[in-house]
Amino acid sequence: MSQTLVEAPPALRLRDVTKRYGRAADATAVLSGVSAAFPAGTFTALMGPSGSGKTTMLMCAAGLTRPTTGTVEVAGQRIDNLSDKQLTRLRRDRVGFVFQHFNLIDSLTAVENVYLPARLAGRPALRGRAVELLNLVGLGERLKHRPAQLSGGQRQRVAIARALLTEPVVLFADEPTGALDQEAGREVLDLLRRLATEQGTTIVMVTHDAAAAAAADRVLLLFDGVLSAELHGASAEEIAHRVVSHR
Amino acid sequence: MSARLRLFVSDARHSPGRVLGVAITCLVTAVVVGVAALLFTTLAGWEQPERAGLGSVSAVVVATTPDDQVAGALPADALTRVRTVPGAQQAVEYRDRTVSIVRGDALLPDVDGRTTRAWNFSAAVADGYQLDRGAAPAGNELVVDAATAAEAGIDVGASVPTLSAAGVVSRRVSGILRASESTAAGGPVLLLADQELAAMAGSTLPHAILVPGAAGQDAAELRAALSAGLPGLRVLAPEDYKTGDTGVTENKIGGGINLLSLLLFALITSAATVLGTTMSLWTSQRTPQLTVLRALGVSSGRLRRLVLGDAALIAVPVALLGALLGALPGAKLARAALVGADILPTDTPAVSLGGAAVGALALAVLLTVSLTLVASLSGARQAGRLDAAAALNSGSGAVKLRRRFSRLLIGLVLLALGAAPMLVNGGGGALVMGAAATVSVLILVPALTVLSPWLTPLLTPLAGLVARLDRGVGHLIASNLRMSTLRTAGLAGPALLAVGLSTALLSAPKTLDAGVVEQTTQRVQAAHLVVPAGSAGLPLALPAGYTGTAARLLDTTVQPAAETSQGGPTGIAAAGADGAALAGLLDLGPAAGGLTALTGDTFAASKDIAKQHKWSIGEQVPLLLDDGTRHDLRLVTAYDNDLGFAGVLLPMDLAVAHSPDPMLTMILLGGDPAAWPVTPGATVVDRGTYLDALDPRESADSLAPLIIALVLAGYAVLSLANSAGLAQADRGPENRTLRLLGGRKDQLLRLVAGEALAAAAIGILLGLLVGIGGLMPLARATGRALPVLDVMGVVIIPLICGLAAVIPAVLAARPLRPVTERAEGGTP
Ligand SMILES: Nc1ncnc2c1ncn2[C@@H]1O[C@H](COP(=O)(O)OP(=O)(O)OP(=O)(O)O)[C@@H](O)[C@H]1O
Ligand SMILES: [Mg+2]
Repeated sequence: MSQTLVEAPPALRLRDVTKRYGRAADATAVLSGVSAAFPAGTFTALMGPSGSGKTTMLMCAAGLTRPTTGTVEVAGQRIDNLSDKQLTRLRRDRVGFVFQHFNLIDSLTAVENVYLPARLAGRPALRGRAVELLNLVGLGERLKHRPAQLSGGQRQRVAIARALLTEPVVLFADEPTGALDQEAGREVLDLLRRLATEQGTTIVMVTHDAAAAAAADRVLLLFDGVLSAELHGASAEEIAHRVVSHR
Repeated sequence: MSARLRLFVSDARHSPGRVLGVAITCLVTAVVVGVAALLFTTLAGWEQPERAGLGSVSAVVVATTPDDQVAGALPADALTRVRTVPGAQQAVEYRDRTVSIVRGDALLPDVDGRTTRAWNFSAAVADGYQLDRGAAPAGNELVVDAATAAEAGIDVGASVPTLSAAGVVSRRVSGILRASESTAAGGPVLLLADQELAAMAGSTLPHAILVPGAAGQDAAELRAALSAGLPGLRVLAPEDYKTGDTGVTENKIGGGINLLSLLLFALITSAATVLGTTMSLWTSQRTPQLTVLRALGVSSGRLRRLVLGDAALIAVPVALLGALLGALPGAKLARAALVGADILPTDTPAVSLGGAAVGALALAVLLTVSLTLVASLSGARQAGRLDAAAALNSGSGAVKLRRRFSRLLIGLVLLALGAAPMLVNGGGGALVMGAAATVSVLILVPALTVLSPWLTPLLTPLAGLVARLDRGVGHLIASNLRMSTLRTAGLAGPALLAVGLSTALLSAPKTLDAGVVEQTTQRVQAAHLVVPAGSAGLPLALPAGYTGTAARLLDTTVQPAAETSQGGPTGIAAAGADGAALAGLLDLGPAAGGLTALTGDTFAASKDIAKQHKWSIGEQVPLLLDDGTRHDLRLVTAYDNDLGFAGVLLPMDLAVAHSPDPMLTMILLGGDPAAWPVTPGATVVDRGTYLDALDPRESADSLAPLIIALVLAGYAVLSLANSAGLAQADRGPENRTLRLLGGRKDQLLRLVAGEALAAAAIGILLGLLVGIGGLMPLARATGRALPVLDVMGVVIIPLICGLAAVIPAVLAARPLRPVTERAEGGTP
């Protein structure tokens, strides 16, 4: 599937991204010289020990924080130098987020939560799409439920549906199964897998779970802010072995 | 440092805003309650100089009215009865009447601006006053006290014109009274012969009987003997007897104490509701932390004590600080302001830290702390009931606040209390009902504030509809308002309290004033009026030179003899009037006719009063007149236009004969005003001038509600700011999510501001509804369709409330901060 997309720009590309927190010259780099390309329609898992910089890399890639040096491109367009206003539009139109904690609005129903980005963007035509997406994530029966009336897995699926509403170029997920039990986690992973395969959504997912990572097309390993390996089609055991052996 | 203290300190350090909000609320409560308490003790403990000047007698015997007030006069046989009591053979009658010295065309003003009064000579002698020179008065002769004599430049033998009920009479000065301590403090200024004073127009009955003390006789024992021997009369110590009118000063002190009582009531209800919302918001925000403790094995009892303990840790030092540092300067400022506004007399003692003041401050601290603890009780109970598993599982961390049954109960009880004045006065006239409804509002508004969590949902759909005008975040505003009832109520409640109370407090006097002015304008038809100039009234007789029509009016009171009082005084403001002469001069409405029948043993009553006392026309009604005598009078007519006027009209002759000190309040002129001779102590004004000068309420009277309304509004602002800030503080994750989803800064701003404004608007709307609705009976009683609204109450304070909700919410939300770098966090 990657062959057909060789000429088109990747959905997401990081070039030589370095990130330091704080201004001090001696501040240690959380990311040092990270470069990676994420072709459209691929499902990438990002793994690494705690504190290795996974979340930071995701934030830089999504335009939530600016890299200290290096560039980030989404669909061929640089985003590391955008203004705050332009970044707001980027988040609204081009990228989606799913986090460990579901970040749903408690007072809104499932369908209202999914529809929220459209409201904020002033695009009422997408209403039908919200229902469609909830059907897609298997929650067609629970449109009117509020977050408090949903299970953790269901909430995470609502969050995914919401992230998909604006048909983002890239969907970022930071430990989306981290707060879920095995079965709910499985459902969420299956959904992400399906989205990449069937809808052609580009997905970048941070995870600690080798089994979760095994659902992806490839796995990037991050150690101390440096991308150290890339695994394709590895099994959960292999992945787990690689993560542990590096230590 | 103990673990529990460390926990508190770390919590305070992590979220100083929350602790600060609670602390400020406690501080302000302590200061304000402390100020009120200090002023209260200052006024209550103020030793008033003795006014009667009856220093040396052992006892004063008086009669009482059915409602337990000192009656204007005693029965004629009282002296004989008193003298039968052993040791009281020297008792004398006491009378005092309005008599002024005329100087030029005016009256010589008395030292403290009060009406100059004359005593009968033997009463002064019985009380130990002595002549400095000259002799006792005989015939119509006069004795003058030394200070007044010096002031007027007169001495023994001089002839002095005096004004009294009988008109201007020239009197020879027979003696000068020796200056003494008590003459300066309310003693007699003028003395007349006993016969002369007793024979003056008006009631001939004595006002009191003075029993002088004899050497070696115990005054208290004598009073006990008198009490036992004189059933139906009351025996007072001289210092408990007050002659004549209550002084201006005394009225002011009473007014000040009333004002403070009302203020304290309003403050305590406000403080309770404000502290209640603040504390429960605080606890709810700490639930994640408390849940963790619960999960770590802390018992629910300990958790409860922890929450209460934290409340005490804030409340005790802050309340102490407020009371010790804030209350005294605050009270001094408040005293100066109240004196400046003429609500308190200028010689109000300075606020100082005496024993009573320290007690008052301690009470203020105690009150603040207990209010805080009671307010945090519900939070503590909530914390004790936390289900660790459920809370940790809920994802959002904060546990939803629930409306409490106890709060509903308190609200309903208050509601019933508020309805009571309406029920008690159910049978009363329109004005009584109007007043009762206004009092009801003052209790109903706090009741509704307590009930606001149940009330606000009624209006949230409406607020939601308005909010939806914003296509971006309106929907979210509507959902948030609906879903977080307590948060909405936390903002609506204070706004409801401030707007409801200030609307009622400020608009009620305006409505009444407008009614009085309107009805007086309707009522007074005479082209000219004679009114007193100076502190005395007008002589009873028309001057010989005047031949045109004129109607005299004299203020007095009557009391229904057959009715038992249920607490308060039952006296009715009455007037003596020339019934037949009123036609064309005083219009009391079509029903009243010309009042020609108002002669002999009859009376007229306003429809309101007649209804209140269930009198029907033609009925014989037993009434006690001002001198305490009972008369069966026939009700001849009932009149309208009674606002700002007497509720009962008596024939002039009857009113004069039974007033202990009759003088006219006004003469309505029908004829040529130029024919009215110049008379000292009186001026002729035309109708327009009279109506223009009509100020039915003293300015101080309207200032008092304004002060209360402003204090309440200030408190509401504080509480709104607090609630708005606290309510926003736990919205961090939600706001971040919105930003992540592509929400613009301005949208976030609109969300936060819109939500705060909508919640406050619900309270404002409820407050206006209750405030204006509660004034409708009063409006109807004053003959208007709607109450006269005060701009401060219905526009400015609502505006302030709206701002107080929006600004802190926006500040606390700080949506202008760029999307945080750690965006994935689920807990604040
Ligand atoms: N805002 C910040 N300021 C300073 N240092 C930060 C900040 N955010 C993250 N760091 C540091 O950067 C490093 C990488 O953090 P990051 O959150 O990217 O790790 P991670 O790989 O996502 O870890 P985990 O698996 O535990 O989530 C950590 O050492 C962290 O302390
Ligand atoms: Mg992370």
